[in-house]
Amino acid sequence: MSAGTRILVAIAGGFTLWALVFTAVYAGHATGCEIGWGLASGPGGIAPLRMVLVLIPLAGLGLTLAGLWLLRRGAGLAPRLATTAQLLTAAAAVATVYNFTFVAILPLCA
Amino acid sequence: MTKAPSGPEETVESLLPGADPAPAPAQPAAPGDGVTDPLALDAELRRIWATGPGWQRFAAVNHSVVGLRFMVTSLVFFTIGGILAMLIRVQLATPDSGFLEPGLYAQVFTMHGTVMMFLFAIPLFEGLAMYLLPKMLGARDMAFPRLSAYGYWCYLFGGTLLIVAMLAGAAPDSGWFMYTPLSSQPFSPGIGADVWLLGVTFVEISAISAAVEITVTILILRAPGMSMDRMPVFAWYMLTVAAMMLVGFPPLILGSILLEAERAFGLPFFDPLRGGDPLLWQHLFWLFGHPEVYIIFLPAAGALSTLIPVFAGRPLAGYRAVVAALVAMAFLSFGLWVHHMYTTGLPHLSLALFSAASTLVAVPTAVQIFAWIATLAQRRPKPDPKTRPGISVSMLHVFGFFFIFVMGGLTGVMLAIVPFDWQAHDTHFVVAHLHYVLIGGFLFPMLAAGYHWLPLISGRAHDGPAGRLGFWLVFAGFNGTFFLMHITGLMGMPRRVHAYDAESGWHWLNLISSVSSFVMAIGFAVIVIDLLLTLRFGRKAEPDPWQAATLEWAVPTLPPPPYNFAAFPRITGRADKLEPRKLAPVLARGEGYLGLARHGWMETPGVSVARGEPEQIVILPQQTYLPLWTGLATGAVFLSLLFKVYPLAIVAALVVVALFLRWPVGDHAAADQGELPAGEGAVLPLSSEAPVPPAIWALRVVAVADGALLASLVFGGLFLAIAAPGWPPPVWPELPVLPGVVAALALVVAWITSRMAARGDVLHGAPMLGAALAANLATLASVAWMIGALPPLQDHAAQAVLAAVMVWLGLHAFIGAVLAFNALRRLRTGHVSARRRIDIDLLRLWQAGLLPAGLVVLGFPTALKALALAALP
Amino acid sequence: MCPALLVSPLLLAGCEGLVAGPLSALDPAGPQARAVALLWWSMLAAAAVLFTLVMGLYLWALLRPEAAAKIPARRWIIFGGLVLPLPVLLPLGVIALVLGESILRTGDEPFRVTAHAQQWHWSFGYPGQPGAAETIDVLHIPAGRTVEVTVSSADVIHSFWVPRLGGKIDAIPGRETRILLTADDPGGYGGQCAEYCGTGHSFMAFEVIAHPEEGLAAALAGETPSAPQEPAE
Repeated sequence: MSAGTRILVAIAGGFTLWALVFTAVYAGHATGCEIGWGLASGPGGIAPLRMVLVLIPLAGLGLTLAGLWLLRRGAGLAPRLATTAQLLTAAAAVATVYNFTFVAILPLCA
Repeated sequence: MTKAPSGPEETVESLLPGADPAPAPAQPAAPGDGVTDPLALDAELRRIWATGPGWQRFAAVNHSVVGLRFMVTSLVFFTIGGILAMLIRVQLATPDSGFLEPGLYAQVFTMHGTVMMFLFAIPLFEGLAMYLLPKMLGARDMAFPRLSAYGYWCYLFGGTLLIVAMLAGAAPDSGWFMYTPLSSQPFSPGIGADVWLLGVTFVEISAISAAVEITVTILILRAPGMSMDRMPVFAWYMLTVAAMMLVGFPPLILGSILLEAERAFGLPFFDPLRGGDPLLWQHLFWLFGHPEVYIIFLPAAGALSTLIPVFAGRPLAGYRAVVAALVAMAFLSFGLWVHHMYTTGLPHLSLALFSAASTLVAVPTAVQIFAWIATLAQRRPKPDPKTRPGISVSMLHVFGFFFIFVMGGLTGVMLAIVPFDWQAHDTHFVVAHLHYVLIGGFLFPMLAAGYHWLPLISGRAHDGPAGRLGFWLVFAGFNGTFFLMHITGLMGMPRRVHAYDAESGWHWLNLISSVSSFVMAIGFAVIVIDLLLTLRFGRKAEPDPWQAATLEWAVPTLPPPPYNFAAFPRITGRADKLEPRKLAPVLARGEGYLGLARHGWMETPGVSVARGEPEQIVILPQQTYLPLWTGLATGAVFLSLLFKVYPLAIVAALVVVALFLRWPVGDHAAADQGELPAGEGAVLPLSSEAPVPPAIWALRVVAVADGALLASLVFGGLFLAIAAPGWPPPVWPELPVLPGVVAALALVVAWITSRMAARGDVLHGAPMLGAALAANLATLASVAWMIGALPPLQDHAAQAVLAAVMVWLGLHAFIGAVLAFNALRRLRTGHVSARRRIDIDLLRLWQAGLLPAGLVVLGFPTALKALALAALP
Repeated sequence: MCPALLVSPLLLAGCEGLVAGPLSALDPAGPQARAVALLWWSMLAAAAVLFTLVMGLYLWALLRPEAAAKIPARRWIIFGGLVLPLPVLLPLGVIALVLGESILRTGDEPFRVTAHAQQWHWSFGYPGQPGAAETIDVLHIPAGRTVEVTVSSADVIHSFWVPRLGGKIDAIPGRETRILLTADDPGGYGGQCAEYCGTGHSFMAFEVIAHPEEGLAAALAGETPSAPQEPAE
């Protein structure tokens, strides 16, 4: 990985994951409701769509936290960039929690 | 070569052994033509870089000239937009006003929004960035000066098209966000909507060009040693903004193309009776439109992050937190667009997703605001008493920014709250909010920036009370106009009504707004007169008048010479902690990198992205009329589309392609030059012989925008399949299998042959290039076959969407063929060698990107069908 | 502006008179609109406090830097950027979700009507009321009962809005959207198209008339109401 790419990944990686989760949840929700996943009841009476919508952010959060762990020693970046990348990745993790917690709670398709 | 005076640790440091990337054997610093005397060097550099007089001004490509043209032109459009705003306020001053009839009023408010957004705000910051970035980063020009000029002509012609249409009474009239179906053919039968779609797309070409070259300039055209973490924070802002433009503008361009295709050819992308959906337009528009607000705010915030530290005499507090905040803001801003669509009946869960992101964006905003407050709090007196003017005019406008923008931010959080927005949406509350955000967050910072950089741009110092008077008039007038408008909106006044009842209770609020708006207009007039008087009669500005700490003030003269710097320093610390007053004379003497003039070349250093180590000598193009001709030909394409003379449009488009192929590369690329001395002991290749020249960077950056366009199209199609009424179509539009297979194979062949052509000794690559050309033509033919096999495109959006993705692929195969043809041609004329391989590398990169994208396109019909059939009836 | 609202959003009695009007969302006449109006006054009070705080700190730093400099930059940014906004945003977000849910749903069986928009008038239908004729630009509803309006459009996008009874919902061709409204008391309530829909947009108004239980059937049968409607207070 070139030094430039490394900077790009370190800085934009966390929020790129947030953006992917966002897109997946929004599109998945709309699609799931249209194809009926929001009605069917799966294990424990939970709609399959609900499980998908909860698992996607959890996966994103896991990857973001993994990224934060990789960045703990700066990942070979210049110190100021390393701090910036750590701040951004931590912020992305917080944003993921803040942004997607309620998909576990709100009514699905109405 | 003499040593630079070794200032404090953060300034230039010419010849520290070990700090030099290439401790090569001692080289003469200024070989070539051997100009060493500073005055002679200045004269020679001026001769090389100057824009010619008279008609040659139309050939200008210099970033200072083009940047100023952008700014001045945008101010002319601002005046036009302001006059339109005055007409609106006159109309609304009294109940049941008969000043404008409703049709004309609709044109006026549509054009006011369109002009202010597309013809004023975006071009103004583009011009400022174009003007400042090379000077701040340490470069002699932007990476693609001809592209700047071409972008300017596209902007000027597109903007003129809109204004001329308005004067002819054929302005668009569906509101600046052009909601379908009101903007569709049956409800807007005239030419007005076409003028908007084509004119704005024409202007968008300029925005995308600017984004490409801002990105590449920041990535590789910096002073040696300026690693990414040392960049002045304005460069981080503009890099982020450019990236946002690359992703945010394609959805609007796509939407405009689809809507124009619906209006002109009846392809029903937005028609609910034939499988289209008006909400598709809203998604595409706001997917552009909301990031757009931040695209406008962030350059202004970048200016604030630059000039507040100058006032405080301290570097920006929390540089890292600010960079993190602005990157976070850039991402979050793409998760807000549906907050313009809370009342469209989407499920509450969807709305909540966007509501959360919309409130979250307040956090990075607050981080920046408090970083600015912290910077002010750490302020210290300047050593030079002359630069302690108390609160400068610039800082007054910063006060205006704080007051107004904070309020706009607070109402923004309110509007992000779904139940409140159900009441406030589409009322004058929103009108008030958006003006608080845009005027507070863009106009006031830009005025602050204008007064701050006035001495740099004009060489004149600003004095006198008129600037303060102008500020207070605008500030008071603004709040008088828009503060009470929040109440007007909550009391029920919808947007875009041209008249209202006296019983509504809105009349006194509207009257105050209208009177105040004239106070604001007078304030702007005072500011304009103040600036004109300063330009004409102002005393000469002294160098670095504010004791700033960034490189743009280290130019040899104010205003700067067209070449900016006679030599480039080595940056060894943060580039916002420099001492321009010490640096300027050293650089003016030609001490540093590239302090020379040889062969009439326009040279500037190119560095590695991360560490800023010099890697290549970029040779920039001379002034030329080609951008003008290409701009005119592009204009001919748009005019032919507007007047529906389609054969002419195709001819004009081919002329555009031919002209682009003629954009010459200088003589230096006709033969191998080898590595050349670049000063400070560095020996570097020319960009034409460097492994990753600027053109390759440009293609990588364009690929981002192109990918965003394709992604918008693919998601748009899938959206219709699940959300639009009337899906699936009665008869599914099946595509023949054979041409799909041929196209896929041809994409693979073009990819392989382009790689083989680029391998080893490229001189024998002609057969491979020929094969790549043929493979691209095969893709094109297969695509044409598939489109031809579709049922009539007007009947249902399903086949229209399939045709649209196929057109995307065909267009890209065509460009691949053009690139292959170009590489063949350049191989024959001797412009390609084992060292000079840009033309082949461009093709290789193109095919490498087109292969996966093309496979997505070819797989799309299957995905669309599966989704359409799976969706519940 | 009314100073009382800066003290407490609950002391609104004096303010609402100033901002009353036939289309005023700040002069609510039903539970949905009242909840949003209360939300507005609360947010306004919080915003006024935050605005004063931020501007006060800014002016302090600008005018008294010797004092303000004692606070390190990091603390400014952490307190201002994180500690200040997050405790406001989190509860606000939760309130918004709860309020949104409560406005979108009703426990009782609502009175159902349809609103069909067309450039530039509204036609209202009463599917549950046999014999009730379509009405143009006048919507009859029962007072004190939740009404579900199903909104559609024949041509371009319009938006159905009765500010004193609740929020708005777009009328989008090809779709049906719905909104719940309630008028507490009998009376006439102004309605207006909120989305720009062409040159007749400004005058695409309508009136909602809430009838007492016994008057509704008569009104729907096309009879003149027994008594002239008093506008609600």
